[in-house]
Amino acid sequence: MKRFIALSFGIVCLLILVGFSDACLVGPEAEITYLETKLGEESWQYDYVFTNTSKPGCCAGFNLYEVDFSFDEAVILKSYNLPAGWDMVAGAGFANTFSIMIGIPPIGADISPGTSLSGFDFLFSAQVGNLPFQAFFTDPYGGDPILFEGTSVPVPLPSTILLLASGAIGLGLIGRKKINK
Amino acid sequence: MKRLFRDYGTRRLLVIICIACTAFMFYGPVWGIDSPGLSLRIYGDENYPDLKFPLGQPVKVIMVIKNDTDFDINAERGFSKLEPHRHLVLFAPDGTQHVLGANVMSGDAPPPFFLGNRATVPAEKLPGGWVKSETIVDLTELFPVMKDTVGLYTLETHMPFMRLVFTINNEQLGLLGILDSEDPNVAGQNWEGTLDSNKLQIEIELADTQQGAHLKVQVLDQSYQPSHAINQVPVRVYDSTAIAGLTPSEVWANGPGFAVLTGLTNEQGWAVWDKDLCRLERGYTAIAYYQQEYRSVLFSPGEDGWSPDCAGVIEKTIHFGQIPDKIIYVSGSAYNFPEDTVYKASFAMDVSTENGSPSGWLKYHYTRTRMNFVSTAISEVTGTGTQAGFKGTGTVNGLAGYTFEADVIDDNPDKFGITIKDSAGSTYYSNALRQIEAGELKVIIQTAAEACEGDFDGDGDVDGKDTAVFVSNYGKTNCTEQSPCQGNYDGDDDVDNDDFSVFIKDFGKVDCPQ
Repeated sequence: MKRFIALSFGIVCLLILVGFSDACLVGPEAEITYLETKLGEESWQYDYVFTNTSKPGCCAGFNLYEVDFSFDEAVILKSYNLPAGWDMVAGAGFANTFSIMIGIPPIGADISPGTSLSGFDFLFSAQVGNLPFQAFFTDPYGGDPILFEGTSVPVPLPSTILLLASGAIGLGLIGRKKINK
Repeated sequence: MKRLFRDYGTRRLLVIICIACTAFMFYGPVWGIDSPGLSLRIYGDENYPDLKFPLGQPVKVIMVIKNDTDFDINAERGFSKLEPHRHLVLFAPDGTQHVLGANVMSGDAPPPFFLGNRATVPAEKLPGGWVKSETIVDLTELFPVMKDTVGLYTLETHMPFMRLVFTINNEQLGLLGILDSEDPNVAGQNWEGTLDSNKLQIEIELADTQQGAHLKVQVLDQSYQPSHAINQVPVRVYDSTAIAGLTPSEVWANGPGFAVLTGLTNEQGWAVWDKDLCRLERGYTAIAYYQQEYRSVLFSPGEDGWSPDCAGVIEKTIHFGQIPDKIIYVSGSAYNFPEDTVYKASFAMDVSTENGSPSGWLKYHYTRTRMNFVSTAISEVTGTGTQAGFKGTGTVNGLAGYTFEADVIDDNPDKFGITIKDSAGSTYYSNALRQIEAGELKVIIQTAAEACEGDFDGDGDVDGKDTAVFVSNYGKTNCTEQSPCQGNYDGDDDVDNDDFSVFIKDFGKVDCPQ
């Protein structure tokens, strides 16, 4: 019984540590990942995915509706594509993307906690890499929108491939060892 | 009687008679060049068997009407008195149809009159083999278009003709044709229609020593900057001497038949006539009619383009509309902070008066309230120096019925302000004129007098550097929207002498807007 109580207490503590230490205590968060493709010396394609990394359970209502990028004024945003329900104002050194359909799908185009939205494809005149961004979230309690600042990161494609490759090599080695035996 | 019908020969004869009667009912006399009866033929000059005449030479033709049958044909009286040439129809190379005054015939038949309750008309017997001919010594005198337009003409004629089935001979009045009969077997058998001729094709060629050119006219609306081509505008080219002393509207009122060329502009604003058409070196005036206005341009004999082999092309432009006093451009995108340093107002615009009236768009988004304003129309654009203002209507988050007024100052930093009002006229949103935090806004006010089309490098003057640019483009013939050529002012896909004349006007200017 003591062991059961101790175990339960431990689980509760763990839940508290894991659950209550999530984003909603410090505010909603977003992650912007991108896939970079060089199309030419002056053509760099960036395919962005906006993710509302807030926990769906406790952060319901903190919907991501605007992401503003900043970049070097010398770089030109040559063209862009946006997902349905989003618009953009872009100029020298900035690109502000925002949802023009208030609410989350199927009513609106905002990004609810725990979900992602792709289709933000930008064509820059130069390589921009990781860009600082500002993300704005709705406040379900009626307050002003909440600002989160971060930096876009590339899709971790190379490390994933590396992991898979190393796994495959490991399996291969094990298989060979067994055959030798 | 019954035996008579049993006889094989009699029955066969009856069948033949029936077939003949039926055939006669369906195949009555048809008049024209390929039918028995009267024929009407036009023959060319025996000295020009191929019917190719040098421009300026008389074109002789002979018209022959003949009764090809062995029997008499009773025709409406006056037929032999007709002047056949009055019914000639000429199709010019540009497709226009030219006819003579057929209504002013000397041989017009008098109206019918009654004799013994029968409607009759003076008639004329045309015996079998009857022939009438008329020689036209110079067809170009009848159709002056042949005097100065080379190309292929088609000549034909359609003469009114009435064959009278029954005639009576009156001592005082002579031969009379009965127009109608009470006898149902006879009524309606008179034949009335036209006697059609063959079609004679005559080619007028340019003489070796004569000069000519193909004429082209472009119609542009200069209230747009740059000028816009106007499609489907009727253009007529007249012999200048023939319209001397007349206003364009008076000339136009005379109808297209008075013109030596008629055409419609295409999508590029060009009225272009057939390649075979070549006008002689003489004064021509092109007149275009657009939105109740007539504008003209002169093709003078002294200008370049007239060539001995008619290989030259002379292009002219007719402008409609007024050149605007000034053109205002407001464009760019930026953001600022209306209330604090957290929530941005992002805006973008491209507004101008270059199309003769205000046009363009504005987009405005405020992060804090998620207000998304999009203009639906621009109603007014004003500006002086580096400041501009514009008004219009738009939607807020998709809901229509809002108006807006925006102000822009192109400065360092630029400034932007906007007021949005709802349908009741109350202020819905306002962001007073304040400086932008990022981006760039441009206000360009260009006056017509200042515009320098030759300032290629945009350094505010038209000098040797610009000349070098023009020269490097001169002679290009493959200019398109996708691959534009610098110096192709008239938009005719090449950079030629016409463009040079535009460039040279600007050469030496030092006060061009940058």
